[in-house]
Amino acid sequence: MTAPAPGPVIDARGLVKCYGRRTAVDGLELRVAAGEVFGFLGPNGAGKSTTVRMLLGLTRPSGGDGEVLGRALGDPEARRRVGYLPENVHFPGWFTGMGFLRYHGALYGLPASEVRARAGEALERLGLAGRGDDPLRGYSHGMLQRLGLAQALLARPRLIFLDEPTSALDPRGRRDVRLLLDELRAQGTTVFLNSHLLSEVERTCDRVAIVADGHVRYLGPTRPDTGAERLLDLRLEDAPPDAERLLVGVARLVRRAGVRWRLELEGADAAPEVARRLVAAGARLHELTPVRRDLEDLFLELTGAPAAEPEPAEPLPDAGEAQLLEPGVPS
Amino acid sequence: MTVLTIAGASLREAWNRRLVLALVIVSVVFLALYLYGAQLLNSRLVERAAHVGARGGGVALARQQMELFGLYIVDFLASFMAIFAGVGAIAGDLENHSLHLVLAKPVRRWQVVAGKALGSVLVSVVYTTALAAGLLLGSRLVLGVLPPGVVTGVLLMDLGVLALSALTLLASTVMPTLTAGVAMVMAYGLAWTGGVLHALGELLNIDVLATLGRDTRLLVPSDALWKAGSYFLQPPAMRAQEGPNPLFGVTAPDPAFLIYAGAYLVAVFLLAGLAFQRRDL
Repeated sequence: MTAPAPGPVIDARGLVKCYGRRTAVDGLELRVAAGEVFGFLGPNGAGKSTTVRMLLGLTRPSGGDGEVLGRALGDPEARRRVGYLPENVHFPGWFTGMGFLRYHGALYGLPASEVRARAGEALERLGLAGRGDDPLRGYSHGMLQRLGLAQALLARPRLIFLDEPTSALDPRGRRDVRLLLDELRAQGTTVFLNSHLLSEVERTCDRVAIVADGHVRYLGPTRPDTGAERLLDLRLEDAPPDAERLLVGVARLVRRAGVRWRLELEGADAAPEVARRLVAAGARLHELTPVRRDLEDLFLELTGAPAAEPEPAEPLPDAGEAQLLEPGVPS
Repeated sequence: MTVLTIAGASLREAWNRRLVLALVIVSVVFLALYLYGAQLLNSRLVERAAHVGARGGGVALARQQMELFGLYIVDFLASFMAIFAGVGAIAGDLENHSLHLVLAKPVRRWQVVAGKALGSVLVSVVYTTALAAGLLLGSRLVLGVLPPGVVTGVLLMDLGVLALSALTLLASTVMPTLTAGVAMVMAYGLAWTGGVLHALGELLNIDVLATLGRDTRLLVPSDALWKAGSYFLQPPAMRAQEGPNPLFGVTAPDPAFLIYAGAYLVAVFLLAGLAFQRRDL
């Protein structure tokens, strides 16, 4: 058995992966602590799957190095306590659910009796009790996804990589997976979650990394807006020409479109002072709305995807331990 | 143990995907057709021999040739079975990501290749041997002939089919399934063409052609191994009557070539392991 790793469970140091002239991952720095539920986000082609494959030893890095559970990348012994569920995996229809789990349990090197017991437990835990003897060709998409999760749990892993684990699940299934992740967190299992369902990520993850073009663009708390109300939307008429100068020290203009203004406050309690200064200067203030920036906003801003509002995005204010990273800047 | 687990899964997959059933059905149909045709030809030969007052030696030779041609078809079927059953062994599992699940466990890549190779060797040897045995037994019953050197001949047929299995596994580790399948059919064709060129070169006394044809066996030895096996499956009288033949071997195989073929088999399996070890998934 692998000895408990004293350091981070995942420690990636400048990982690079090039395919010919294309760089899929470019100097990735990442540390994930034991017991974290960590979200790994990015648009398609951002290098997420390549990163996971490098961490699992399936793909050889072109540069950099790292450790998983205290062992060098690619060391099979590290994988003894790692679970993995890739996206779009094929489940051979001729296996029964129990047969599939026994096969994968045997690959972990577990004794047959232990595999039987754990497979039964895993089926029960994922709501597949009573279906273990059915051939997989009769399973629905959601059931196969649950079975994939069951095999990822067989080794009682200390680290589990999940790639879109809820994409085929109905709302009840998603809730079950959320509860499962909570349970794993309580047991001290580290979860490395790759998902496009940002609302799920917000609800389950402790921290996230957002990657784009092979770089980590953000690494920090899942709710980057602990200072969310530092953004303020105004509907303002008759604003004085020197309004921006009037606000120096309390807020700065992020963008303006007609009577609609977005300000970034320089203090969490600066909103009343903004209102007072503008009204004193003769402006008519119709609306003043604190704006909460959620993970989706951040994701869209950082990955260059079209946001709901087309104006150019500005960097986020500091928020707790959050780091907003430029390309090439190690986190 | 991991190797056996993977080999066992490969065999169960062959069984459950009805590969075995398909092979049994095709083989039974082939044997039935062959034996029915052999029986018809045999009775026609006997009638004609009686009609022209021919001696029994000519009829016996014709029966042996018929049986050898049947074994040639066995080798052909077994070769294509080895190619098409093995071409997705690694490539197919990579394409559908099921191998990613396996290799995310404490499994070494050589263990995957060894497990797949073991499964492939077992299927190839059992199928080739069983089909050849069925044909030999049927021929014994219908035609009343049994060639000499059955064990050596069938073992060399097995070795030829295994050479294709090994090459197929290597192709499957470095190419997508479809590409590997096309490449292997072409490799089979190359070996066959080499055999024909060799026979033509000898027949027409063109040394360059004979040498070129012979040396293709170093690249893909399947056809040369079939010819080596077929040499042992013919009675000496039959070999004595034949000149260079594009389908059957008429000269004793070179022991150095047989040693080379054994080493080739091991080397190709090792190369498959090495290629897979270095491959990014």
